[in-house]
Amino acid sequence: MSEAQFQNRKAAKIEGGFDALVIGATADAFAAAALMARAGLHVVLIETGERAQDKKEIAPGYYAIPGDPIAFALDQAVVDGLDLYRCGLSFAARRLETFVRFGDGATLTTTGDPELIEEAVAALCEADAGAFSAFLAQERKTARALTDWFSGGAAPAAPGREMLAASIDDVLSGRFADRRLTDYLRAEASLGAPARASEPYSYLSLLRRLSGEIAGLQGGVAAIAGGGRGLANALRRAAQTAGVSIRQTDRVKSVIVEWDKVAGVSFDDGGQLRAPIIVSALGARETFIDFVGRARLDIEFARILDFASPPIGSCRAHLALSGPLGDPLVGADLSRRFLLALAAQPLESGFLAARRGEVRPGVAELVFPSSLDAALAPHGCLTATILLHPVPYFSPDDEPRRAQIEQLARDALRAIAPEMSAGVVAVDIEAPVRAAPTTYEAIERRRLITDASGLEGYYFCGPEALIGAGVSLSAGRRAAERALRYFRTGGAS
Amino acid sequence: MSGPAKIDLLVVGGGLPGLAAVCCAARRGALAALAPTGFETPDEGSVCEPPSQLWRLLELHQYGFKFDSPPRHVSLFEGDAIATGEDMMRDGRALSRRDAALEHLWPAYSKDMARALEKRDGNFERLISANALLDDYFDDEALKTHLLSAYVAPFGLCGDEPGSAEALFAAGAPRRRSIDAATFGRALSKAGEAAGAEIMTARLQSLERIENRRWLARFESGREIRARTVMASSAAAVEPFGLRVATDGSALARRKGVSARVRLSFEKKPKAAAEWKRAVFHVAGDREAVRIARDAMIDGALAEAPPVAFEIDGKGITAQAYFCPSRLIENGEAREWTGQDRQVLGRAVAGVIEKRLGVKVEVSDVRVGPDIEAGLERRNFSIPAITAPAPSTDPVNAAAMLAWDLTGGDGGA
Amino acid sequence: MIFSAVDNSAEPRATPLYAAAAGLCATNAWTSVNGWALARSYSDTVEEYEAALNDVAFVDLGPLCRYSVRGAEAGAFLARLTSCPATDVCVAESARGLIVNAEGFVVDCAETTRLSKDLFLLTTSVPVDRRLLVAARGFDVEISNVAGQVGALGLIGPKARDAAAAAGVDILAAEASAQGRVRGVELAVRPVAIGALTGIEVIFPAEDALVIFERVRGKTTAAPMGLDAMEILRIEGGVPRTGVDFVSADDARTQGDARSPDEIGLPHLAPPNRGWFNGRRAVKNAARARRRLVLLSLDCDAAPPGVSIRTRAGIAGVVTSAAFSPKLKRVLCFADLDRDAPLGDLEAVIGPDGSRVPARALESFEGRRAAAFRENL
Repeated sequence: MSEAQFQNRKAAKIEGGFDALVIGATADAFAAAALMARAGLHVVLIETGERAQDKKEIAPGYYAIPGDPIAFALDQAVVDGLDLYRCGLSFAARRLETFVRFGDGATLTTTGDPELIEEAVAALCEADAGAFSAFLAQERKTARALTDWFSGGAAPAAPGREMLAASIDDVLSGRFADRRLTDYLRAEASLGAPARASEPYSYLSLLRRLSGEIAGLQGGVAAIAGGGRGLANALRRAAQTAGVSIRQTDRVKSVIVEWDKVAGVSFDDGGQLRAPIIVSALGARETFIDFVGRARLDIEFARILDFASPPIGSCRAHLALSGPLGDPLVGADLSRRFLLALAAQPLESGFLAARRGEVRPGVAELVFPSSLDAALAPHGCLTATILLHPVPYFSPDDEPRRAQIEQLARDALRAIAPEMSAGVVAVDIEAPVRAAPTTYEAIERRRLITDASGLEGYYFCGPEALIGAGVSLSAGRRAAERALRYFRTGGAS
Repeated sequence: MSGPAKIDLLVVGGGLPGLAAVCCAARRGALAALAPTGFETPDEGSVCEPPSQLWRLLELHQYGFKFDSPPRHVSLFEGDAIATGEDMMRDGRALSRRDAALEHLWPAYSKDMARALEKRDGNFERLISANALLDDYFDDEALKTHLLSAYVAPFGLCGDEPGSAEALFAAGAPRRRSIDAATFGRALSKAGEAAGAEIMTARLQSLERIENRRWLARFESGREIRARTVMASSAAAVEPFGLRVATDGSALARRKGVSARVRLSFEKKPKAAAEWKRAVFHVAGDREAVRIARDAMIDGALAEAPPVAFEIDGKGITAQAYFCPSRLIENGEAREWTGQDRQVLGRAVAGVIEKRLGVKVEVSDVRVGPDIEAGLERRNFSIPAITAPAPSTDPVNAAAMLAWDLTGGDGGA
Repeated sequence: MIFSAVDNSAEPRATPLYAAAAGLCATNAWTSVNGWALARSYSDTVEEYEAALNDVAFVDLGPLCRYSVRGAEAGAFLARLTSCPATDVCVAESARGLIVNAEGFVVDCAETTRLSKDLFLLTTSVPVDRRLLVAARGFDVEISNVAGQVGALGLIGPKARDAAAAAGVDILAAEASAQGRVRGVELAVRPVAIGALTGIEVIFPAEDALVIFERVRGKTTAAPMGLDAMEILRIEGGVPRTGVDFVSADDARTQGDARSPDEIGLPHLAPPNRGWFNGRRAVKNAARARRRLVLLSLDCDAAPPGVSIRTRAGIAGVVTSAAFSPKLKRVLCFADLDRDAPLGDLEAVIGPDGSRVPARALESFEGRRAAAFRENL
């Protein structure tokens, strides 16, 4: 009997005796569930919707792994707390080099270690090398001081309004003699950001990018073994090991609120799961307005949820390449990260176009998963994953838009490695991901949403709790920490 | 006397804001000097009367100002107009003809904006975009366009930028009458002279940081001045010079494009001038048109029908086009403005106004600038950013109040 | 419901009753409340006061803010917006409550009256249009501000009911409702109170103002009462007034200016053990009160607002509003005091010479209710 049938047979049943429920199946949801279970709570994770596939065959013999194949920031407290390395987390490459291709065709190869950036930059522009490396060191220091804030902690006392309101351009333009260095940092910071580099508060996205720590290295880039599913699978294992029971359902109907406290969730069939703590990893509007209802939310709180986020996002394309296995421009070493960095003006235009709903070139980040895991492509062939940003947020079944994105992905590959682009045999487009804002507004909004719902026992680690692109697990950790504090102070009894 | 002069406060950037700042500092007992950069906007038209604090300090009652009622903002739409800028209850009553709910909603909005203006910390509204804030308050698309044109577009913003809501707070500022800019300038010069402020004519050449956190300014005349503190009269007068400014975290600083001033003449005075006395007119169409103009500006192009703000006087019309590119981009190549481009812009502005006012107008002058982006591209990172007043609809008083703050405490001793 | 002391308008407008009642105003002393003209007194403040206290007086309640709230979710909506238990109110009944913001600070007092199954009348002392609009998102309600479209006449005093019966206004509404004429809030009768003093309020279409006025004048002995006499009555009753005794949280410049229900002495109007209302959780979890609004009696003949109240240790607070009570022959006043100021030895510093008079805490109608509520908590 499958899990789903089992569920059906027990329909309309009210089950209790749990300490906490987690709604959603994001990485943060699994992290929160596993952390609570490790602390001794009886946790149920309610997986809504379909479970993500581990692999998808995009052409005969070519496999794409959905999700982000690389990571910039993994919350060390979660990695340690859940012993994720024992649960199967490992890195295919701990310090990925980044190969930057500029709009004018020039290239820059950075070593995986930001400490060694000076030499790499000297190859591009001798005069700026020292200044660039000093700037980066300084920014990493500033970013380090903000790490806790980005991950959901209290606002630091140190940074002034001036710094918070600055744009990427405020900080970068005019700083280096070689504009391309600025273009590189702008591209890094713009990846996943909703704001143009000239807009206020965008400097924070550069700091967020530099604050992340992965594989013990601040500001580094790592490839997780198993690609986009590597971390998810490790987290699932960690949750299972910790004793989290995982239930699958189409959707949660509502959250039961008794008095000021949450008491469980109910399903469409009338069934209920009762627990005094609920962590939601779904969207904030769904979490609060759909599940709880405005009548039980403060007016000022519900108003914050009414501000729409910009309809801008990123889209990932998986390409199957029948060869060649290299390109004179990028060399034969494909186990690197490739970044297409446009100049300031075209990038600004790209953001404006995406806001208008048009598809135009922006930043592209390319990796070759098959160079890290040979099983993903037939011998002598390759798979590539390109992250395109910004693109207009679109419905996954909008075919014309998918065709535009496919073309954009092909163009990006051609811009980075022209010869390789001839070998594309298939392209698969993932559903777009909304930009996770790094602006001061987003951080404030996160504070308001996670702190002020007024419902005891209800914790939130959904998309609005994420600051900056890429998975970090911090939101899940914060939600679990709050829930555990509530549990221990007797709020749940 | 040998060696450079030593002063307390150097105000970089002239014009009315610089003058007001240097006068204010000098009256407060500081040794103050004013250094023009050459990027000042000329003093024309009228400006807000200074707040009473400044009025008292500079004894401005001696100069015999003529006061005008504060200008109203009037948006002209096809067959429709919206005017605000009077007493909020009266505005509310006038707006209630559009929608009965506005009679009470408008005063509530004005009061909220006044409160938001004062609330510096923990103010979520300060961080969001102007469009988000407007959507949160109103349904009336024309009213939203009006507020966007009157309060946000002058900063070169179209309302979707994070933090642009801050520009809307000005709607809650107390209404102040206006005075003639040229008269105000003369009064300030006299007041400055009387207070012993030094108003330089030679332009600033360079500014550097020397020992003891002092500043050394060199002028084109070869003169050197050492200053304890330096402030900018406005970001717009100083950034084209390549200096960085710190505006206390305001999100309203223009980072892209420039404003253009177009002077137009007419044969017959438009009817609107009689209908709305003392008004700043706005023609934008809708919010989408403002965004299109902003996008065109960033893409280095001119919008076909740019949003325009204008005032009508006895002789002609002074119009502002807020969304002009710093450099025009053609086939991916950037180039400077030419006389022909200015003509195209002038005609476009004239076209927009003719269509709305129904009178024939002739372009007599087009001025574009100052170009901030050029300054941003060659900024001096070796010295700290210079304190500047936050961009505001009342730059003169913002500069004076900053000088007031800087010369408080020991600065004024 | 008490008038607010908030006024934004330079040009007060005429209430529907103005044309009818203005002729009675011998003193010609007018003031403005919420932008509406209101007589401070008609003839003699003390006589007006005594009429209300012993007999019946009528007042123009037009300057209050009125909203009609209609829709299937009107009750639920009002129960969220205000602390009134609106869903439990029966037709023709009223409930008192407070509007509290999400931080637990008082925006205004509110009364909800149910006129029919899905039609309510919301009465507040300051305009809350914006708050209503934001709160109504996602609710099936239709809200309109009806101030000015309806007139309101209050009959206050022990004989208010008799007077209403004599004038026939109380059955007016009953008839109208029986005939199915209650389409909007244009005709309603609801109970009102100033502290312990009860009365009846008649709400009618603006154009019927003269008819209603004539009936009340012709069939009853009720005399008009102005704001000054109402002020004495409401201070005696221990009812704080928005804008003087506390600042609406929507108008507070800093959070230090805002007041919680407990701090203004009305905790019983926003009981945290009632169903969910806006700010309820903040009220429940509020830190210890910082201030308290206390009704004091001063042994003197006059004391303007702003007079400071001292304890032996120093200044403990300030008088927010005061009136001479003809009944007690003393000045009664509200004072905003430090929470910890002992009520035993308070003194008011009156007069420019700094002379002091004893200030004693006084029981009042609202005060007793608040005390009973605090005991039960």
